[in-house]
Amino acid sequence: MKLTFRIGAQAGAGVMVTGRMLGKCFTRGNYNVLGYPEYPSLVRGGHNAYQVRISDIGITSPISKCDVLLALNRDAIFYHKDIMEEDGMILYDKEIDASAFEIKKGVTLLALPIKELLEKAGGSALMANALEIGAALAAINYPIEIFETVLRDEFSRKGDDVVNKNIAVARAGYEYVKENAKHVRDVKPISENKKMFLTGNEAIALGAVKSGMKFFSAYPMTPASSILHYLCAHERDFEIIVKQTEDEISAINEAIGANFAGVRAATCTSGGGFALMTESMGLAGLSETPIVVFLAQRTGPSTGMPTWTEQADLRFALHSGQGDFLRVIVAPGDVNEAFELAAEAFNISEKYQIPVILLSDKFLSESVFSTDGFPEVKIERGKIVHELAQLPPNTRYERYKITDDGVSPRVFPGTHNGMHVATSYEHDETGFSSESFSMRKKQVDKRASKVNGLLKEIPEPKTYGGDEADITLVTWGSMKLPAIEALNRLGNNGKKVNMVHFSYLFPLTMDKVKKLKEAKHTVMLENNSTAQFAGILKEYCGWKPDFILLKYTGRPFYAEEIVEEVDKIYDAGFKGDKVITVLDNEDLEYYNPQRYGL
Amino acid sequence: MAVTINDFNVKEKMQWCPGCGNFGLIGALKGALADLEKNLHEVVIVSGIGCSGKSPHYVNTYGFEGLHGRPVPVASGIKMANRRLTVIAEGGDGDGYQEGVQHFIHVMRRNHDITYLVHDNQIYGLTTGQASSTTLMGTRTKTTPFGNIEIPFNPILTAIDGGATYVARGFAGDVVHLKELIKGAIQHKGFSLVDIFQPCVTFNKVNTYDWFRERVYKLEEANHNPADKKAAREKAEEDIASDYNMVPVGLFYKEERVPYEEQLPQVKDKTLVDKELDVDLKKAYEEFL
Repeated sequence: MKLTFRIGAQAGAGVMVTGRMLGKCFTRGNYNVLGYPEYPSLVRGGHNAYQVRISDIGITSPISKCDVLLALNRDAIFYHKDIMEEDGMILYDKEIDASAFEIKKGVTLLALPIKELLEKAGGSALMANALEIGAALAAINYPIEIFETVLRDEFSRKGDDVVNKNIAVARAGYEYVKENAKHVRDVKPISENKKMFLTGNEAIALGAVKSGMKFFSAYPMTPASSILHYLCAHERDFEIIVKQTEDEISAINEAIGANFAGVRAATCTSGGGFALMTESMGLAGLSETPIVVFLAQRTGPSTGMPTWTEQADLRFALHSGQGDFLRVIVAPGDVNEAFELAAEAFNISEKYQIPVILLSDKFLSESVFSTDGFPEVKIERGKIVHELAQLPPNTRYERYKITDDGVSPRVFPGTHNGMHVATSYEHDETGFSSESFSMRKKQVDKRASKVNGLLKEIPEPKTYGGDEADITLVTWGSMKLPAIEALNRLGNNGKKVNMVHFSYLFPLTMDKVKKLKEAKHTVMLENNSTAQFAGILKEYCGWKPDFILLKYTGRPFYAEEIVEEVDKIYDAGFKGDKVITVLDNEDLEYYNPQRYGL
Repeated sequence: MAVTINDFNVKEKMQWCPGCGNFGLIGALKGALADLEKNLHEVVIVSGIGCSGKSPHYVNTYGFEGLHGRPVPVASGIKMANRRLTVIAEGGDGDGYQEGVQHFIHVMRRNHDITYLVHDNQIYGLTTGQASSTTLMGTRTKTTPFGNIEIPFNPILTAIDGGATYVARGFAGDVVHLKELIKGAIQHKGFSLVDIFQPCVTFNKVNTYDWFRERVYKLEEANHNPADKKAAREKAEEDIASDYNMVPVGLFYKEERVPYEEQLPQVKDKTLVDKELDVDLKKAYEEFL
């Protein structure tokens, strides 16, 4: 069973809240759910849309079809009418004049007398979204009682009256649809088990806290901001300090200071903010101070399309900062990897005393995903000394002592006999500035040699689907999600396709592409225009894909786009264009509805 | 055994030009730390880059030498992570009043309990003599060969209006007086600024030791009340108003305001470094069910 809702409304009309509550009705019925928001870089005006996909098997990709459309304004009918399934339903406000739109035959068009229903149920205009969700549930014959539990949890802080009115309003919407239309789908809860329903950013924040992060400083930037928002709201519960700073430079430097003082600390940003942080990446690199950066990519360069997705900051992350220094880049493929890699980022960063970048993107960061839960986290802090023997007077601790594995034990301020300077200058073993050529070489080699231990810890890319395949899809980061769904569909169509997914992007070794070298035909998928990871794999692993499938419109791949292109490759006998670019089927922009006379 | 000023020494030689104001400044700082009986391991000195940036290397405490313009955020992060530490940031007029001036503005609003010592020599030293934001009008430098036409930044007035709770100015040529100002700054609960006239003997031929000695006078000897904000503002502009005939040094302004980190209930009992790493997320997970 698979089903897709779309909710469309004017920007600022609460589509995100509506979408999330609707999704929760299904995670509470043990369904897999994906909530995918799309919105322009505007607070008011423009169009917002939200997909809620539910399924009894895994579900991971947005698609361009819709079973039930909740059109909260007239524009929404215009934007989404053409993607309707022919036996779907459009629910809209009676006040909207929909007569000008040509609706596909077979689609049930039902006008809701929202104003009257609200009045009758004793609710206010603010409660319209509860009414609409109630109506949407009736369209698929799903029990309203689950939604009532969602409303109770959502509004209990505001008192019984608000809860009861919302429930009354939701029921009014539900009953109205029941009485005036036949449901177009019939969906029942799978079981009483509840799944969690949360964004990639919330999973990142939780993984960080579970890993012992105590300090977080950041400057707001879409699509990273919701990490900051979530942590700010919970800083007292978690007993951590979360701080909005004056800029990204301050954010990363405060976090570096906190790491130096001995607590796990991180920051988050998007590409533009990361540009301001790059000098400090080198500071962490040379001073060997751990730092974790959650870098949520959006459509660049410069301001680009701020609220849309892209995977084009990988090269930037890899090369950020002047000079040579080691860093690790991880890119979670789904919400569970977001949690686990956020937690692991701190272990790597502390054990090797290096910067770690966790690369997500708007699609993963802001979409809402169901999960059965998160694992426990193992905290490993690496070499830290808490007690030191007395040194001769006026002598410094050897913070940068040359060691076999390149890692010199850290000591935190407050520890007796550990006085030293951590520094951005090249230095001797005590941290004192030094321009000795032999010491310079030793310190460079020491820092670089950490990669040997690190590489032993970096896991192999994961294979999905069988070992035997005509085509192997290759993905990194959030592209895992649409690719997995495409893989299932291709398999159902009798195609032999599997997939190799990279969540650890850097550093790399030749053996990481062993499976790819053995594959019959490979298709690399990237959400950028220059196939950045393919280039990195060529440089570091000497491997290149047979086909490259790129999308850089601001949207993630939709599963059906991947299926279509892979089918074409099959049909052409694995010949044809090596680089294929994809354009969305729905080519209507949300920023300027006036372009369409709306 | 009580801490002495010698305990703060390091073996390495201080690499500043002979006669540099930084020698007096570092002497005053070490003297202040010794007088206050600070333990070496409980002090952190944070610097940026420039001649001032070398300071942490010459005092035997913990130190962090970061990026040009950025000592204040690093110091803020250290203080929030462990508020038991005595945290001192050191910058220069280029480092603190130009490249990193935004951090200066915002740290004052927050009132972190840190001390900010600005080595103010009205010139860029380490980069060999360009104009800084405190270079006086008319001064000829490598980048103002026809004389500086920008009015100088007024750190004292900015600090008084910006929310700093301890605003002082010292002169590296009067180490005893400077030491007392630094002691007051370290003891003060909240953000304290000590702007320090520290003559650059190599690149600043205008604001020399003699230039200062002819002009500076002590606010303590002029009946100035540091609790009087209006009077503090007037004193902050006296140098310009008097065409640099009267240049006040001393404590301009002081007020009591609860520091940032002391307003956070989550660190009331335990500072961050002492917290258990493991956090129970059961309740947090429930929010998403």
